[in-house]
Amino acid sequence: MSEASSPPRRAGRVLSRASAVRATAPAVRLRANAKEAAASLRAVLSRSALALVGIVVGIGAVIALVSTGQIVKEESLKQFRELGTDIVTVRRQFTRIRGRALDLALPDVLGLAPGVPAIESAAASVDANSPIRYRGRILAEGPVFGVTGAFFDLSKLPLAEGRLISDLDRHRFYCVAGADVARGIRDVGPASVLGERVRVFGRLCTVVGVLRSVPPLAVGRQLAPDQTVFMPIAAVMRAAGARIREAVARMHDGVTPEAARLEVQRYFQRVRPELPVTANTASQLIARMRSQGQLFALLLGAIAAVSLIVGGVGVMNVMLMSVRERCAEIGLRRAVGARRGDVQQQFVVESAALCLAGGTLGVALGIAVAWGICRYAGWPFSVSTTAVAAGVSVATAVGVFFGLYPAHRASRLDPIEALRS
Amino acid sequence: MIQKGEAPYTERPDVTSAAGRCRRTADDGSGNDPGRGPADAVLRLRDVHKSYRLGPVRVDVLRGVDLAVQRGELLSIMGPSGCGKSTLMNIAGLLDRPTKGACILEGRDAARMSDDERTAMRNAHIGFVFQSFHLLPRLTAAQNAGLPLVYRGTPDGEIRERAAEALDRVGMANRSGHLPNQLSGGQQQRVALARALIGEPAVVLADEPTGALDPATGREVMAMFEALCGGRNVAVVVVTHSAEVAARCHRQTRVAQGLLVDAPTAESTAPGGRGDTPP
Ligand SMILES: Nc1ncnc2c1ncn2[C@@H]1O[C@H](COP(=O)(O)OP(=O)(O)OP(=O)(O)O)[C@@H](O)[C@H]1O
Ligand SMILES: [Mg+2]
Repeated sequence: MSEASSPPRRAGRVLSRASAVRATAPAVRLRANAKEAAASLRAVLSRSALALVGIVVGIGAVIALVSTGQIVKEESLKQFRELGTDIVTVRRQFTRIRGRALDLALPDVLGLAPGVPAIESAAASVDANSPIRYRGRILAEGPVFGVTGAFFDLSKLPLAEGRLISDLDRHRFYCVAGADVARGIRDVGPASVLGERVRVFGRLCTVVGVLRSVPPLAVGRQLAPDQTVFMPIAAVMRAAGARIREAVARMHDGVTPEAARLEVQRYFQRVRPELPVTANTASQLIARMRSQGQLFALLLGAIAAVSLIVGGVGVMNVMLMSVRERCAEIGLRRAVGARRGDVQQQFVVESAALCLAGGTLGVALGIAVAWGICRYAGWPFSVSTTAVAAGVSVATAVGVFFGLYPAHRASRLDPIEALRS
Repeated sequence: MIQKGEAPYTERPDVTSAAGRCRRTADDGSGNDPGRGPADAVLRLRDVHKSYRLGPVRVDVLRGVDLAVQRGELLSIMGPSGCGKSTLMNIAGLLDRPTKGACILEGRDAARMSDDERTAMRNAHIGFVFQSFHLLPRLTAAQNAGLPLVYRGTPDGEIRERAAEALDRVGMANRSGHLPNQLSGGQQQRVALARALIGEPAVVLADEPTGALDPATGREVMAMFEALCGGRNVAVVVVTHSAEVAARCHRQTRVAQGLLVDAPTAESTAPGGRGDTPP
């Protein structure tokens, strides 16, 4: 409508004003109401500390729940991908005889494949801390791995050039270099790294092979093949006093994992009756990890539910108190043009922001708890964005849910009564 | 004329027809004020009744109030405590609904409006001034003054601009960043006045605006109301217990036995005084 065709001045203004009020976009109003909410939030914050504890704990539990759940899932997938389901791992149970801890013996591991019909090949590995130096500079911080010949095949580590470590290398200082270590050598030395010598455990060690770059794997413990060197297991055991705590074996096609596991167990009972070992299949490990994860999930879920309800009710109380205290404010806002919906929105936003503040602390707490759980369970730790997103949205949802009732009460106040107070 | 910064002039048939109704209602109005065209009445109360029910007892506070407030008019309402002045103001301000009777603001009957519509009408056409100022304690003077515009969706920058302007108008330009508890009563009432004016209302309803102020400060506030009526053609209704305040108004009325009657004060020199209160 053009200005010229509008009714006389006063009526025109009346019109434009009335329509201006009604035509305001909801988003604009939300922003305005949110700002009003923020202004009064600071005052509310100080005395809602107690209610927020519930939110903090609850969101912390949510974060821990989601991140550990995710880590468990990723870990088990990784195990499948990296090792396959045809792997049996052997771990020695911690035993002491006359004060000395017992470990797996290399001949026993090497005897697995010929001695157990179900097993196709077996490998052992040890690791020991030593930086890897080349011409005075440190190429990697270590640890250095000592492996048997079958280790590369079992761990699916591909050779790029040269040769792999063989069981015939015994305790010679030979090594197969990871991709990054090899690149480090090339940066300062010759283009062909074979025959170059790196310094580990204070001694020179000849590079006989180079691996292709592969992502880190979880074989027993974290291993980043690119940033280390692999030496004959006997060399590392002798140089660093490392002991064999774990061995891996691959079963023949067509053998059931359970049968292979029992055979391996029986083999060790026969060759080392004094050392109890546990043999596990990948699917068993994964199942155990999952059920462990589920237990944590259940526990954390319960903690989350209880504390979020407690916190939510606390926040609701704080908001109800706030509504009662700010009666006059609500009446005044209603008088000057806040619709019921605006008042409702302001209080819901306030409640959500309150919970979000608690939720932010909870996210930090949850990450710490998840870290602790991962340490306890021996899983690699990572912070998932999904977990943080879940924490933030649950906090907001709790705030909105428990803010609805107080906000409704606020919006239903009679402006006259409210102004009188 | 379209106010700068207000939402675009959207075509709303219901609003347009309401404006049309405004004209018609005004023209066929009871026309008992030949001095000013009845078309100028911004606010009209017709046979307004208000009763409260307290258990079995019914208290009839208002029993048929008629009132027409003209543009640019400064009107006083007096009466003993508890006679229903505030009740009347609340009905006129669309905060309360009459038990019976009509309240017509800018040609639109409040009885037919939803709560949201009445809120929008308050925001657009009415400025409130209270005895106890009712400034929000956590907002600065400028933020308090700008509050009505917040609910209009006016952009922040423009709110700040117009709040500064409104504060300047009431002589509070240098206090815009102050919180209410850093201001004296008279200064707080000026900020409240700025808040009432910022939306360019047609009517300002002031319930004992000078009640909490000393006489000199009260006179200053009244001077602002006078300027408002003359300069901006805004109607101002003042409830007061002070004969001096009432005397400065164009027209004096009084609530008695639930009715509103003309009650010119002896020293009244105002050009008004021609009420259209019922016989
Ligand atoms: N919500 C209510 N319920 C019952 N009675 C009410 C209510 N509100 C007002 N009243 C009664 O209505 C009458 C008028 O009250 P009102 O506040 O309008 O008086 P007033 O003229 O403004 O008085 P004052 O000069 O003291 O402000 C009083 O007797 C009061 O008790
Ligand atoms: Mg009163």
